[in-house]
Amino acid sequence: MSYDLEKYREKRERVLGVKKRGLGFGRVAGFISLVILLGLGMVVIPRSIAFLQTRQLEDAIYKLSEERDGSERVLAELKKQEGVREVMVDAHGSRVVVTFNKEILDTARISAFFLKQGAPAVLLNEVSHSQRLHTMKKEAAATGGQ
Amino acid sequence: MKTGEKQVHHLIEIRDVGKEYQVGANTVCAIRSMNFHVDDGEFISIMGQSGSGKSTLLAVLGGLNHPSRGQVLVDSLDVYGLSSEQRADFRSEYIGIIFQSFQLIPYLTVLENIKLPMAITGIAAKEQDDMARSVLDKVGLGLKAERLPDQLSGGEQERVAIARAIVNRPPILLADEPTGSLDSETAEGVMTLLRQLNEEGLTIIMVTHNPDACRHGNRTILVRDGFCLTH
Repeated sequence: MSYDLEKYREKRERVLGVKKRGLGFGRVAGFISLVILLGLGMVVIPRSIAFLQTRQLEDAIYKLSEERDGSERVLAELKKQEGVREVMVDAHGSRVVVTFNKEILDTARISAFFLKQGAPAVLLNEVSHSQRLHTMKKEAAATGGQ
Repeated sequence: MKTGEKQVHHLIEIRDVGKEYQVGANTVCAIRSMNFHVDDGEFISIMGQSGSGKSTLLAVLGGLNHPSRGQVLVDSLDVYGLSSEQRADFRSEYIGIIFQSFQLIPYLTVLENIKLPMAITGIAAKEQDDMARSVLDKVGLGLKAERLPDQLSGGEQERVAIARAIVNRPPILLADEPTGSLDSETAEGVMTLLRQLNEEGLTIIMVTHNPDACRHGNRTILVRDGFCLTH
């Protein structure tokens, strides 16, 4: 039988590395790396975005004085202040959580605002906004959402 | 002609190949100088006495033993001009080898022994299984796939060795004394099987002492003292 150079071309190309057989190590490693990166990305990216969005926010927790006449007006006024993101009153109506941008505002100025409005309030605590959200989430989980 | 390919006219070309071994302070010359070619689909018998260099020649042909000089060209590839990784791929793609003592792994079943050469080919496990069972049927041992080698007769072990050698569908089968340890009747059966495989297109190069085995081939190369006498 005469020799035909084309007959075993595929074999020859596999030997010479022109044609790869199966999945190469590089491809498998690349695929696994991609899966790991995508998995990490799905976890890390949303957290990073949330962190970047809230890192400048701070929560100041105030106890309002007993005389609460006109406090709704004061809180509505506080909401309009530059740097205040949110003002929340708890279920009993005695505590106020003021979420503010710490790059613009601080608790001294908020306390001064309350005094100026004739509604003195005592600062109970100051925590980062994300930390308070995290704590609230944990508390909700522990109490079964009660 | 691409990089790595040489100008050739035959499937296998042996060009002025020589092989010396260093044994202590002495140099032993196994192959002095050999030149011959093998065409695609031939069944070549290499005959010679012990120590004539025929087994060394087979190892050189199979890419297993680097010659001291000369070139071995297979399908236009200079076998010893390839990198060691390429040469391993060359052996996997082109060469099936049957050893005189079968070299089956005793603690693996017949099927597992046959699948062994496919371990590095990247073929899917299911396909490996199908290919192994197909060659096992071809050598007439389809019903003994789950047996261990020592539960088989010598002739059956030889058939398993043949099945293992051809499972990757190599175009070239090298056989080193394939009937050397078999009785004449069993040997005849094995030679008939090799003849069949050759008729299906497999190129076979068989080293033998046995002139009876040579009649199955279509050409005989006589080797003496490291030279090819006839080809």
